[in-house]
Amino acid sequence: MFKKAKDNVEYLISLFLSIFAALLIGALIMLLNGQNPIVGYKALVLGAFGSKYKIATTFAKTVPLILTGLATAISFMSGIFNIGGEGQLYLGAFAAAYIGFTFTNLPVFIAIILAIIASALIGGLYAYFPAVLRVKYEIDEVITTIMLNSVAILFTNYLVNYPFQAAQGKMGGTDMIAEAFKFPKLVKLSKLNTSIFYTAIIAIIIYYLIKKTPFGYNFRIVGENGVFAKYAGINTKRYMILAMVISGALCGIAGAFEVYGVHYRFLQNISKGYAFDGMLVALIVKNNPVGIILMSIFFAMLKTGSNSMEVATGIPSELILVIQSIIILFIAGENGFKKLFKEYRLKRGKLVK
Amino acid sequence: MSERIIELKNVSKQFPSVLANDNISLHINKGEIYAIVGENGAGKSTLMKTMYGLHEPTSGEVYIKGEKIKSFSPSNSIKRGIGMVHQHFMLVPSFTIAENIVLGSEPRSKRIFSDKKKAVDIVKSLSRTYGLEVDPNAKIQDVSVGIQQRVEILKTLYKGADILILDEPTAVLTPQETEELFKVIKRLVNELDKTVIIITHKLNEVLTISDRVAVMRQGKLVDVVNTREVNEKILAELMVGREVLLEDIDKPEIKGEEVVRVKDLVVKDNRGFDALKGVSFHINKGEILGVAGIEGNGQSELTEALAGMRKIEVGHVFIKGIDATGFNPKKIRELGVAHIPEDRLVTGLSKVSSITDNILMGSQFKEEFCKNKLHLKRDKIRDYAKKLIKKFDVRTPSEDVKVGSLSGGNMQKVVIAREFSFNTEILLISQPTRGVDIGAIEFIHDQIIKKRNEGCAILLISAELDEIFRLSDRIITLYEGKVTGEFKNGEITKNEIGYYMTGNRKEQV
Amino acid sequence: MKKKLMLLLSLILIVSTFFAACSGKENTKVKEEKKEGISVSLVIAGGLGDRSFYDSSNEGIEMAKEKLGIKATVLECKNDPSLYGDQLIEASNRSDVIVVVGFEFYDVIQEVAKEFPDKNYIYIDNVIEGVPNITCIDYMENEGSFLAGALAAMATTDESIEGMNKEAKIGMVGGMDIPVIRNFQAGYEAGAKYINPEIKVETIFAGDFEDPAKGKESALALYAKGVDIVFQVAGKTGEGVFEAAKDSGQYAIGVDSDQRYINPDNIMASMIKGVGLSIYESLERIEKDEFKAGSVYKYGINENGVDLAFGTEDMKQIVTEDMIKKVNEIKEKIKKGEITVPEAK
Repeated sequence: MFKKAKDNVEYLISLFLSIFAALLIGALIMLLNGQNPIVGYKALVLGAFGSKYKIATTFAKTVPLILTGLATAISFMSGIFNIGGEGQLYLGAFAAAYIGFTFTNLPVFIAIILAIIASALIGGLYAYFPAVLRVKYEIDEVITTIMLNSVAILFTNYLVNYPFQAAQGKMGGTDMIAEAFKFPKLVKLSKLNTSIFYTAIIAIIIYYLIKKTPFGYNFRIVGENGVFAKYAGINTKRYMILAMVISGALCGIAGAFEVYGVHYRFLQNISKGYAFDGMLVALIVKNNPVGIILMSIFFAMLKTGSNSMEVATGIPSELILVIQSIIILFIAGENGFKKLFKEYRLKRGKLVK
Repeated sequence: MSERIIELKNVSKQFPSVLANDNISLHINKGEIYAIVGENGAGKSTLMKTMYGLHEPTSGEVYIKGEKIKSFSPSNSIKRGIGMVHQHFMLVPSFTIAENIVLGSEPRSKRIFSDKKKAVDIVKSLSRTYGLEVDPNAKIQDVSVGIQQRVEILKTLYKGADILILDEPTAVLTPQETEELFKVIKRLVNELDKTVIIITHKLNEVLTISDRVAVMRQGKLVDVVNTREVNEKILAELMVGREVLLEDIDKPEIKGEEVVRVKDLVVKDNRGFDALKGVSFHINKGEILGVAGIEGNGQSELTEALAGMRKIEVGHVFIKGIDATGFNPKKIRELGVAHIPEDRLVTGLSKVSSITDNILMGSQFKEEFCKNKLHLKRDKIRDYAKKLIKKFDVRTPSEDVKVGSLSGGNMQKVVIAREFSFNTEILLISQPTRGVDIGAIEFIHDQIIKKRNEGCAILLISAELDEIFRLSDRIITLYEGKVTGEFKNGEITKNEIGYYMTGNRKEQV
Repeated sequence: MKKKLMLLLSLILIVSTFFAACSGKENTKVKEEKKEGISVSLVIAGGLGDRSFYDSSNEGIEMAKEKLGIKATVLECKNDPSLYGDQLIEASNRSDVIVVVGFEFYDVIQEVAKEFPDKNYIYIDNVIEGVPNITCIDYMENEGSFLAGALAAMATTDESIEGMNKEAKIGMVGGMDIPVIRNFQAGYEAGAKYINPEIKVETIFAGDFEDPAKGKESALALYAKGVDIVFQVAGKTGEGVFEAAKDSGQYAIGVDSDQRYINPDNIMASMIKGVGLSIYESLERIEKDEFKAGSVYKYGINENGVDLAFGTEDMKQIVTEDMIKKVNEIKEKIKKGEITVPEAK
């Protein structure tokens, strides 16, 4: 217990140091730009949490981040790398939208369940193929999934501009889903809707799966040491494929929630890299489900806040990208940090004998 | 009194969480063979690295040839005449022997181009001077481990070393090769006035080769003794800190029925060559079958094939009468086979997982630990892990510690704890005590014998002949993928079996 | 050493924070002085710096600032659909008039406008009818493109212009295969066919409005097919078309604003949308109380909403005087209704 706790504490310290250092560098950039970092960061925080609407907007943005973050976590922890979340999200979103504008007479409950299942299925299926190619023929899944992103995005692009073009208005989307299917909004004007509850349920399920079940245990061991897993009688290939499918399904569901909760139709640009943001979130917190939720909120805060900051102070919102990148850079160098930290402690003579 | 060539005064080395060397003072005389023994983690390697300049001591002073060392670095040490042969050789496999020896300080023609011909000449004269025969033009990848070690020694000599530090030099050698090495060491010391420091945990070797022995335990120097005045038992007790009983083991007559039969097994190695070329044997209930052989003669492939982790090309494996040829590891385990793999870090454990998680492996779906095959009973699992840690004497602060941070012997105990607790009838055991300290060896051997007495059929593969002889009821020798001999334990001596291990039948000797 | 460095850095931090704080105060003072004039927010789907559509909308705002004394803020969404709603709401909270540029806002503008009934929304580039506080400006891209097509058809067979081949083949690079762009395409093809019924018009959709590399690739593919003039309708992606024209010594036609200045040797003309003008005119109408909220203002050739531009006077013309004359004739005919330009939706 003691040692484990110590590891975690060390990790948390280096994480907070990284965030702090990134914010400091952000402040430096503001200064070089001739802007006041205190004013800037104040605007950022107020922009993200300054009112009920702002808080709701921030939390609305966590939904796709959490889902894609969990998707990344489950695939990465199993030693197979799903970089194709974006494509799976697009296909899942389209499938959900299709159900929403085609079967408009279905009872609401059934339609929503059907849409979620459809998006999960198509997202999972779209991840299944690269997983099989990887496991059976050792074709690098990183490359195939990245390439399949473009395929899915361009394909849905075609769909919304030709066969499924919206009947009203030119806007690069499908028709709207039935009015009754739209997820209710929780705070006026904001995008915050009931999908955040579904997301919470999914997060709990994934947390349970990862932390409390023998399947989660197997996923982890397969990822940590595949030879060991195989030696102990685990069908590593099956677990890798399964992890990939679950990951794809989560991305598909993220797409469905964007449609049912935010845009009410499929848009050709429905996601601007949610899956990649989710991946960063998962990488930073090392696939820890609770960490993914917290880090998603942090990322959502940066995103919402940065726009208000830009409007209020003229500090470009791109600065947030710089900050995010720096955090990731530092986390990547975490081991280096730990070493520095240890050496520092050594020099200070605070030693455990 | 002879010259003190190396002297340590109150040397301590502190690592972030452990004090590896605690106030050590010793000296090594010119022209002696000085052995440093100790269990794993006793601080031998740290001490040796300090002498070689790989790191700086936290406190204390180091004198080499009477001169106090101020800046610690291997290159400085090499300049002072210290050479080191690491346990894992640092050679370039695709280079020739000559190229490897001169690597880093190649003879130059016209100051730019490395002169290969000159290098060959240098190596030839070196090997003549020191009596270390090598073929300068052979590539490292084509020569045996024994030769590779000679190359390492020549390398240090080429750089002008007169103090040689050898780290576990015999770990990879056959008895014959070990004998050769010892001759070389004696020659270097007696005729060429070199000083040799040898680090090992094999006590019988220490007794044959060294002049003085330093014994270390838990970072402290316990004693320095003259080899002539001690025996194996005294040294072992100094090392472990208590009495060690490596008694002979009873070998009762085996009457159990046949449990495992292997017939004409052909298996390929990773490069696609036949590693086993028609191997047949059987194991009875309550019997330990030892497989003796120099590493790389098909032992690894044999265990992997039996465990279902390697494809069987030709032949059959019968387990309890069932044809288990081509079964995957899961099915093999379901037939009642447990397996201690030779490479525990790669195959037997997940280093980054906790001890608990490593012990859980294979039991994660058992009703005892898992409700409805869905919910892990973490408390029960923790209790079970605690129980096994205690029973198998795993030295760890807690069951949550990552396995990777344990010492080699304790890691092995984790594997054994898990695999021996499955209550199986067949055990495949490969290199059970590699890199394990004496205290733990004794314990592991006891556990193996206990399993045998419970009626397990055990296949024991080990590079340590002593271990094979101590534990086995029956011994087969494996050479180049073929069984070259089969003996009841007691019918043959260690020296004789060496010839079978190198493919020479007794008649031909 | 490290400590000193840290000390120095934090010192700089403190000092400059102080100065920044002071200068910040001055800024707010300036703002307060200019309190008269309506407050306007410009919300754009993409980002400024495209030297085209969004930039020209900003020009309209700048002009209004200068001449009408309005107060204005620009909010960019950088093509991130999750920001459309946020920025629109932010703008609605800040200003009385919100100029919304981008067909992508179709859903959100209706949603938000409902919540802010006392604010005026001017929606550029798409048509929503029947909402009292959304006023639309719809450009007849097809009419402007008709002129571009006619000009290209005349020039492509004229070997007196350096680098033109005889083949009657012209091209277009579209940002995405979406209705707005197809409307450009329809006009362009019709215009070309009006001049030369035999002409071939090749179109490539780059699939992106933000990626010059894709634009360049697409244009190079067209030039390789024997096309000498490429009409770019691709926002920032179009910059790649200009580059391709320069590299292969061929010609391009710009879009949205007069882009000849980017490269006067290869860009023969630009089909301009009077985005800036229409925004300015709308704001002017509001100032003068002539504004008809909730209606759709059509900006075609007749309203000077679309046109062909040939750069400033100091630039050497690539096309001949005759061609320009002919273009003007066609314009008159469209105004009089003698030519009807087809539409694509």
